[in-house]
Amino acid sequence: MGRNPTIQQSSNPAIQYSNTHNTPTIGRRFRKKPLAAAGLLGIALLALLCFGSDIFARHDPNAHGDLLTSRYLQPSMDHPFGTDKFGRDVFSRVLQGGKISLTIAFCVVTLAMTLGLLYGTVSGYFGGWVDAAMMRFLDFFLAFPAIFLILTIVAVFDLNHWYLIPILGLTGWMEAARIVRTEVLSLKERDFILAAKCLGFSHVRILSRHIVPNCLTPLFVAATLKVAEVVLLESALSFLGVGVQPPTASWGSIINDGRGVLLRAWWISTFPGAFIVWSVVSFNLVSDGLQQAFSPDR
Amino acid sequence: MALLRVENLTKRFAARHSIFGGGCSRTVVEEVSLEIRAGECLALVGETGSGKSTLGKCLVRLLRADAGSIVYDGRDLCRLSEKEFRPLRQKFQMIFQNPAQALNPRQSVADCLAEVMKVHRRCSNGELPHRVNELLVLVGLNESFAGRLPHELSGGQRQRVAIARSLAAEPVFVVADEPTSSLDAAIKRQILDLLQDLRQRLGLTVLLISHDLAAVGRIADRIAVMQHGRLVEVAPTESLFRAPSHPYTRLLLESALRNFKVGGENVTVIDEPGVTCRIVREDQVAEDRDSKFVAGD
Repeated sequence: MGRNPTIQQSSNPAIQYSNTHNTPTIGRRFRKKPLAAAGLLGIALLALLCFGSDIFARHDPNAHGDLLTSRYLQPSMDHPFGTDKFGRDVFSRVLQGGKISLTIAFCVVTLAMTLGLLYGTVSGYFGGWVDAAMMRFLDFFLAFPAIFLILTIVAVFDLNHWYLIPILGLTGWMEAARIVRTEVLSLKERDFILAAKCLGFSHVRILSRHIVPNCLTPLFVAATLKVAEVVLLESALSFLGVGVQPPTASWGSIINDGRGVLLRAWWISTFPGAFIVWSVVSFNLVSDGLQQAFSPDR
Repeated sequence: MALLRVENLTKRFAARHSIFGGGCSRTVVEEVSLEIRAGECLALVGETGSGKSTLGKCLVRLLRADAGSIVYDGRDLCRLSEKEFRPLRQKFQMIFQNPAQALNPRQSVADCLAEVMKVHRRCSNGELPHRVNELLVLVGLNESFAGRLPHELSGGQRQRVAIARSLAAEPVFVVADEPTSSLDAAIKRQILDLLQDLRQRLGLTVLLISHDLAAVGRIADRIAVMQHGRLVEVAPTESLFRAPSHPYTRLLLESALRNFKVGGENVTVIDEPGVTCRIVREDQVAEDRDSKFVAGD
């Protein structure tokens, strides 16, 4: 009486667990967020438009039109976004510019995130004076005003726009490195890392199999935000005239083209501006959604 | 026969770092001498902060001791370099307190166990799935768990997987650092029984670290009591419960019994320390409580 006899029974009961629960996958959880899904759809549409510009754009983005009849034409069926002062089709130019802007952004982010991941993991994992030295070096990079560095480099060396990739990449990895380092610092104290050390796993294995996969989530989130940032930065540089050089179009340079005639021909600057907003908002929404979808245990 | 002979083991932690030198250190484990016999279950008890976990980590060399020696198979583990220790590494395993943190959240149960065997080349790739299932069955799970991620498991199941992982390395000595303190009472009992069962079947030597004297009393052969980094008493379980020689041991025993009494109404708590219950009735010091325990029985 009082004591439950079943608990006393066998010393090690073979327990049968049923595998009935079904946890939602990352994809399913992601799709549950309508805003994030909208962001993803936005990116897909944008990429389709820009990278399929040969199909969608009916005019050569750099071909001058008839200077008497086709300058500053209002948006119409033939020219959905109107024409600029050389009679070029703004729609074609925006799509071509998007192709360049998005390609640059994607390459810059890949470069910056890879550098940041390597730097952050090494710094966080080995700690001590290695960490201290690496972080001071990073502070030095952070303190350096990247935009002036870029302006100087581009002004001194007469470079084409593909050089923006290494320049923006090499000046944009610090945030990722900090995020990764913070994550690694908390991860390496966890018991499963201690267990891995106890099991005799090498540093390389611990880093690549146990630490890096677990700090990718915040990195992905940072990466989507970074894409938006780089699109803006590249536009700003092109607007200032040091990024993508004419006659090649980019969103920033098209806005710059329309700056002087904003009141007379509003369409030249407005449409590329709208595309920048479109891409930045989409990437931010996706970033938000990823952040929530990627944490399986929350 | 002694598996490990620990002599004057001392571990200090730097309490304050200063770039101008100086700083001070705190001695967490002080001059601990202990013999761990092959195949026994030795319980290490003491209050929080008494240095039991640190001692456990030193024994499996997750921490390097500052002084003293740990002799295994005629060699002093403290004197071995990392490289010399590597072949011995897998023989010394640890099971951690918090099962929520003990497994890589992005690694399935099967991958987790297979990784250990791959690293130590325990078996060929073809045999891996079979060995993984064997290990799962050994710890009371089954093959349906192989594909699951840690967040799909309960606390007790995670702890079983963590135990299976340490067994995959085929250790001779396992330190279980409070393996049950974050589990509820019924699961706690199952995990302790599992450890006991594995120890007997595989001939392991287990150091069971706990603050719960009553819980370890049921499975430990001997109990070592630690206070403020020092070992105050080591004795076989029966005699320690019957006649604790150190006042601190008596205090621990008293408080374990007090907990016991508070939970007198609760079936699961009564179920926990079977041994304590019996021994307390034989213990004259606790004679006055005798009647209450009988009522609970």
